Amino acid sequence: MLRTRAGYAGDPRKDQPTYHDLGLHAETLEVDFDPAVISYEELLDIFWNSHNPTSSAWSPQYRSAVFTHDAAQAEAARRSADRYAGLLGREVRTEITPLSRFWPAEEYHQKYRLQHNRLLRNEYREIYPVFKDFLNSTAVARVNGYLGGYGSSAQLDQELDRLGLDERGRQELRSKVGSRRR
Amino acid sequence: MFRLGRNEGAAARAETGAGQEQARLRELPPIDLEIPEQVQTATFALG
Repeated sequence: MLRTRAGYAGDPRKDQPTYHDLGLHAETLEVDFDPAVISYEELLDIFWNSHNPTSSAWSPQYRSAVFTHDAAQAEAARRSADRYAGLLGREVRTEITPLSRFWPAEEYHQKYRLQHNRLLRNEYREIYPVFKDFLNSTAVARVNGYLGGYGSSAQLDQELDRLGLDERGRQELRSKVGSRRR
Repeated sequence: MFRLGRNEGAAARAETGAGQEQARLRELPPIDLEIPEQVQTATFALG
């Protein structure tokens, strides 16, 4: 994954949604990826394994959906959903629909784990004073992932030099990743 | 549409006096300078 953004999508009639005024938008995650490293089909596999596609949504905000960007993604998503339905032996209720527009969520919803670590947040805000740049940073996305419990100490050691942190930041991140039970 | 491609803001900052000052304060993370040309976007709602 190169970049991630939290946001809202799925209601073409509601512009400028906010968390407290969503219309019929769903809470949504946008992922920028390098197809030479991971394919859209592999991302779909991760998606199916990250939620229950056979359950009905209890509100539009919390429905599950694949918002496709083009015909190729739509075809891949339908094929993948059919395969999962076959594996599960049940109907997949996850919506597959063309993306009309993705609206980024409020700043406090973005990079949640990182924004709750003052030291690391301040380091990256010093590098990226403009929030759009902070949000668009691969380093920020990866550090947020580490803080969220993903990735191993070995992976971190391999890329720590490329994350742009000073010594205090490096120690902080190492301690967070090294202390968890994995 | 919210599409940034590469760090447009950072690039724009680098062209300004303020940007040069920022660049002197902290260098960009090397991983952020390695974004490939071929980037695709996927959008999911997880329920």
